[in-house]
Amino acid sequence: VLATSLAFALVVAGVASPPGDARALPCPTGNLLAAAHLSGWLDTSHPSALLGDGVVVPEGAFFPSQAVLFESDAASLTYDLGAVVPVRAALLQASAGMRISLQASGDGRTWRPYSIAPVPGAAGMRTRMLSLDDFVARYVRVGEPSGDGPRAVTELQLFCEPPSDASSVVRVLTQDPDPGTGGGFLLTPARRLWLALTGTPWLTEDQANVAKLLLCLSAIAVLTLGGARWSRARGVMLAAIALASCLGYYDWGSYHHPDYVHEHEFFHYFVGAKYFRELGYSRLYECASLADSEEGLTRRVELGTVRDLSTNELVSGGSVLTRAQQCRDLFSATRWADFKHDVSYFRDHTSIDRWQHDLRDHGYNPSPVWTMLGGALANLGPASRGLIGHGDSMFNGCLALLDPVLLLATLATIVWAFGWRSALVAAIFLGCNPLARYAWTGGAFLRQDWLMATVLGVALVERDKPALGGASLAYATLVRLFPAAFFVPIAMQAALALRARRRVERAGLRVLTGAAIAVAVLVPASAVASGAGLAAWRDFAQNSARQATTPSANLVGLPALLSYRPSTRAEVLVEPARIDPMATVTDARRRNLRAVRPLQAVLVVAFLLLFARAASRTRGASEGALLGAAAIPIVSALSSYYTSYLVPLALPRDDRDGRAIGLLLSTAALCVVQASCSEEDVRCAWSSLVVVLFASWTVWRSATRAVPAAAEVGA
Amino acid sequence: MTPPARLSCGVSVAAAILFLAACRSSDGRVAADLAADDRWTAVQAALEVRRGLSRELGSQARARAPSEGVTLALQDLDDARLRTSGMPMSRDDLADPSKASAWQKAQSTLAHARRALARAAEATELEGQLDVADREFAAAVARYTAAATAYDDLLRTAGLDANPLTGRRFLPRVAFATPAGD
Repeated sequence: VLATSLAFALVVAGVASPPGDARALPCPTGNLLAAAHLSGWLDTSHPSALLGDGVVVPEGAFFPSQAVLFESDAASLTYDLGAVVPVRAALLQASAGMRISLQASGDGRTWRPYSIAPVPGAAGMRTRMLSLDDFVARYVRVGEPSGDGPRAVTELQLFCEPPSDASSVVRVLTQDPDPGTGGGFLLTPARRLWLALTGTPWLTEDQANVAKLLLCLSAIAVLTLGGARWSRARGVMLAAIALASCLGYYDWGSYHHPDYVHEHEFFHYFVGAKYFRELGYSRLYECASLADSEEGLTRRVELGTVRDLSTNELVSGGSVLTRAQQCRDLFSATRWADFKHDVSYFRDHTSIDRWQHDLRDHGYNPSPVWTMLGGALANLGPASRGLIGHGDSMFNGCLALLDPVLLLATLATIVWAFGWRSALVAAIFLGCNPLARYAWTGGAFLRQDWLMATVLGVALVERDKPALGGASLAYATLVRLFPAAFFVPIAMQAALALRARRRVERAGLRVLTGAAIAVAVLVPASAVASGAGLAAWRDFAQNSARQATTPSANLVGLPALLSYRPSTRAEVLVEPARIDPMATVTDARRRNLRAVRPLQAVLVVAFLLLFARAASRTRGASEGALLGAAAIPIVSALSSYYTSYLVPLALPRDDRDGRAIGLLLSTAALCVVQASCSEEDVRCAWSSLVVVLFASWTVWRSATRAVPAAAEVGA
Repeated sequence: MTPPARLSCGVSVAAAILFLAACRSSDGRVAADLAADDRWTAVQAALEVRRGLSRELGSQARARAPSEGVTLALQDLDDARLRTSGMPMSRDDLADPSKASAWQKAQSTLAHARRALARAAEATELEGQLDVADREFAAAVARYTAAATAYDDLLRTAGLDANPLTGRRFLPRVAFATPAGD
């Protein structure tokens, strides 16, 4: 088989310029790599000695245990041959679909690349015998792969004197001696059992989604069926469903398959907050790229793409590195060393692909208030497993435990202010909502503080502590902006009451006063903590405006719905060859939205009129605040994982079951959308429709109900 | 209790004991793996100190009046730094004997080049600091080697081959035979 494959020998010409006359150079016999030593590497895994051990696998087979894997576009191995020698032939066994570069250098600094083409129409590992003309080098580099399939090489031999019979210099393995290696994961007995039952070792997103759909439908059945005498049984069943849903948020222990911690989120929020003074909103990726470069990963950065956070566009890593040289001047020597340590911690805990993707995201965007709190926590120590967490348990680190605690506190707050039934419905929604599933922000760092503050705010207003409630809602607004919507109906109520009865509603006024005091304290405090004064808020405003004009595939809301067209979805317009493959999609979504601006304006105005009518018919500031959630998806499009803001819509005490059923029906519909659409932008467009309809329905329900007695208004 | 019930109980107890024993064994390897990671972090911190001193030494040498000895030593140092920068050690690389050996050799070459430049540039004070940094680096490598050896010993004796925390195969660690940097 090997002999047949060698008939595919490729002749490649034109390589490195020889430093002298090749005929005058010594010509060692045998495989030149046998006497060479490894002098550099990047992004390869599995022992590099496998490359020159004289062992190949059967043609077309792939034994991962026998291959060196090249894990990025920049991955390579570099050999020092000890002296400048002519290389006249190379034997390479590598993935058939992979194009790989053989590079020659006389000094180890400048390289002449030499492309080895894939084997068309073939699969698995294929052996190629290459005749090399004019290839003289002391250093030889193999790598920087491209193409399809696994990026693997099982054998490389270089010859000055090519062997007369290529099959005499290799030994063919008949079977993989260690089939467990290279598969990535070894399975525990529980995983094996799950594999036998379902065909996958992990609980997949689809499986989890179906389970959550069933939980939602069960909860709706429990809420709608049975008379008053079954009330206790219904409560028990609802509690059981809520418990299963809470665990469902964590995909019943599968987390991020299998890690609990969301490293991508942690990198942005931990590093972004800790070094905000130096990085601001626009330098996270370029300084991280420089840190990578200083750790010997220059080539990886140069061959990759990085998002330029000052323009929100993807650019080549090389151009970012040029600009990043200023980063070191922004840090003290100690802080730069700390920054490099923290960056390397997250880089080392992430796959190479994932790390490169991290540097193409949208940067660090929280407000200075969040930065004040997050920065204080991140500065507790260097990034470490003990501080952050690791493995498949939520109890392995301090910071990753904060969000589960906040979620529990949110539910406890609902119990305190709105009762058990409301808390159970909220738990089912939070656990089953596929738009805010664990994969997005689960296992992250202080990502649920806005939800806790929002729910605490409306709960405090409900429990007749409006000033504190206003302060809590103000905190939520200052960290995520959109909770400002909760003040809108309160302000509307106050204005309507002032017009109708010539007096100010006391509760509403106290909510707004509490909020004003919180803003007066938190804004200056965060400006001081940021180290940049009020410029931090100016930068935050500019950065938020920049993000708002950048369409993303996972936005949910009326603007996302109106800007969607099947003909401009990502699958159709994505251009993988461009530096920014999504640029065309982004432009098209912007154009689509511009074309329907008048329609959008009409819809928003109509909604706000209905909203004002609903606000005038709600009882007091508490119910008014709860209604605020409905305005969020109409006037904005937020990342899907913020849709937890819908929780307050199910909390009003009157019409509780009706709204709960509406929320759970919407959640079930979202699960169906999740199961039906594989593309993120299509899924979010349909999800936007569901969320907009639900929000409009709740407002319509409030607007069309009987007007409460005048004495009750503002009570 | 009927015989089948007794048998079931016995099997259950034995399974529980085996499970607990396996967990204890795995926990030992996880702890040893984490301990070695911590030691490796200390090695990287020591490397960072040496890098800082290298930069300082390079700046001082370039600021001096040029001489052939200093110029050659600077060139050697730049070459050695170039070599080490092409050898990023990831967790996977710590399991690769070829890479570990090449890395150790490159660090040693770099230390020699640094000392030669310090002598040629007559940077006496920095030379002293470099000596301390080299000794601390060597000590950090020795501590890592001890932790890696303890971890590898556990791998050899434990029966399981998957990390219960991650499901991934435990990777062996190459022990550095002698302290690097001399």
